[in-house]
This record gives sequence, C-alpha cells and structure tokens, in this order.
Amino acid sequence: MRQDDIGQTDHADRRDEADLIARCQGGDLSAFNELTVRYRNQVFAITYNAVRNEQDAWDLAQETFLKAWRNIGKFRGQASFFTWIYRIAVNITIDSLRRKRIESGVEFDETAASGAIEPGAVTVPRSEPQPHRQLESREIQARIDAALEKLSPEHRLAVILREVDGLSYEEIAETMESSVGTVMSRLFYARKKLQTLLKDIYDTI
Amino acid sequence: MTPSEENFTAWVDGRLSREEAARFEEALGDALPEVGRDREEARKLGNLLRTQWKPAELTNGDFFNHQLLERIQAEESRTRPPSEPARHGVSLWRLLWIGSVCCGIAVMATMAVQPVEHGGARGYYAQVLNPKPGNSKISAKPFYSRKANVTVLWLDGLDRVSGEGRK
Repeated sequence: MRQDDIGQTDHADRRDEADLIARCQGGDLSAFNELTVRYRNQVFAITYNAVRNEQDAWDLAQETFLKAWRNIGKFRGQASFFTWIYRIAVNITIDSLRRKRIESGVEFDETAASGAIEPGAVTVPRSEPQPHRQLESREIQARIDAALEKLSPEHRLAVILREVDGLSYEEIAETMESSVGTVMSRLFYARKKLQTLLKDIYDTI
Repeated sequence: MTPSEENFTAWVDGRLSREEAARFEEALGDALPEVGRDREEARKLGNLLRTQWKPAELTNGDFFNHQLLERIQAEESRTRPPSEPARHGVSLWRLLWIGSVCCGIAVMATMAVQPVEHGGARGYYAQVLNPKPGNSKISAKPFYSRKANVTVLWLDGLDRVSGEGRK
C-alpha cells in the first residue's frame, strides 16, 4: 500500500477501523480477525520482501499479528493502524535477520556492498540493452525480483519503503530503527546497484 | 557515506531546499550534467519499481487467519489464570449440588426396583424380554398374577406331549 493510498482512506473507513481497534482493545477476537484480513497482504509483502522466502515470510507475518494483538492495548491511534503494524512487521523482520546473521556469524558490511560508488558514477547495464524488444510484464517482474534479491535485506527494505510505499526518510528511519543518514546511505547504494541491474529495462519501456 | 552522497540522495528525492540545491549544483561544477543524468536514472528506476513491480501476495489468506486465531487462543488459554476465586466457589457448589441430586436419583431408582415382599416371604423379580417364539405357529403371552404373585408364560400351538414322553 502506498502512502497516498493510506491518505485516501475515507472517513467512514477510518471510523470503522477505529471501532474495530476499540473492540480489539476490549478483547474481541473477531474484530482482530477483520483487521488481519485487511492488512495481511501488506504485512506479508513487507516480510517477504525482506526474507525472500515464503515460509519464513508467513511465519514473520504471523509473529507480526501476534505481537499486534498482544500490544493492541498500547495502540493510541496517533499513527494509523497500518503504520503501526508496518513498524511491527519491519522490526520483527529485522530482528529475525539479525538473529540469523549472528547465528551464521556473518555481519553485513555497508561499505562492502557499496563498492565505493561515486554519485556521478556511470551505471553500466549488466546485459546489453534490447531496445527492439518489448519486455513482457512478467519478465520485467522477474528481472526486478532478481535484482532486489541481490541487495541486502536492509537495502532492499529501504528502497521498497521509499520507492514503492512512498515513506519519508524519517518514517523509514523510525520503522527500521536507524538514523536518517543510514537510510540515505542505504538508498544511495541500493539505487546504484539496481540501476546497474535494471538499466536496460527502464531505458526500454 | 560521504556528505556529497547524502546530498545526492536528498537531491534525487527533492529533499533539498532551493538554496541547498543551488549550493549542491554549484559545487558539482563541470560534473553537473553527468550527475544530473544519474539523478534521471534514479528517478526512472523509482518509476519502474512503482509501476512494474508487484509485491509478493499472500496465498491462502483464510488459513493464515485460522492459524493466527488458533495461536492467539492457545496463548490466551496458557496465560489465563486457572479460574477466578468467585467462579471457583460457584463451580464447587454446583458440583456438590449435582452430586447430591445424582445420589438422590440413585437411591430412588434402587427403591423402585426393589421387589415387594408378600406375606413375609421375599418376592421375586421376573422380566420377560422376548415372548416371541421362533415358530410362527406358536404364540407366547406373558402375564402376571398379583394375587398369586406369579408370572405365567402362556404358549399356544405346541404339539401334544405323549404319555410316553412324560415318562
């Protein structure tokens, strides 16, 4: 869901959602079930984009909703429910990635992933451009998926939160529990890497 | 990340104020056209991701909810205290009451089944379960005489028993 989509949620929907949340806070599980139906796809997308594994993403999405249920009493409505659960999903996913990294003994190195790219560096396509060929949307999707796969989970999340979900630097920093500078750094390197991998596509379509 | 990289990112995303942007562009000098092209590339990339890429979708959403609700209910039953004191009191009294009623019913049932004594002699208890004989020519009728305190099973249609047979 994009930020402007969230903004387009009409007043009745918000009131309905506020009512559902109030019922959840009173222990009504059927109301929570309804909220889950509304947001399960977005939450799953967040977790899947980070871990790129359906089973792990499913488990993390489950953990996200479980944590939301346990903490629904603390939800005060300052942010929208979606933003709130979004943050929970990102936190749970990042925690899980950190745990896995510690278990495997591999630490992610921001600079190692960067390859010392200069701001004005020319982005070279990995494959030759094919201007005469109209790429099928499925093929484009697969190419983008493959390119995203090559990023670290943190870089991938940052670029998706910014480019696809339209979050501001501050919102990304808050959801990812990092500084705005770190978010900008991740965006910079993620974009450079993706430009290298996808130039032939966005130059063609 | 160097300050120029940070500025570049903010420049791509239109996060620099007019003055900051002017200063940044001035600092680039001759590299401005090249860096400008790079900004275009970044914007095209953003557009590509927004328009051509669909995030993964959750399949079997109903099962997702089912599993989630089961987990919540299991967790709640684990964390809930065994039972509240007031409820405990009520259920104990209820158990006692049910127990007493059951005992009463059992005593009454025993008394109802107990055979009646006739003239000081202990009576007997007879029950004819199936008075239907296997042979269709034979009929069987049970009856009870209260006065004689006997139950008779009357059979019709049996062959006469010969005198020899009686021996």
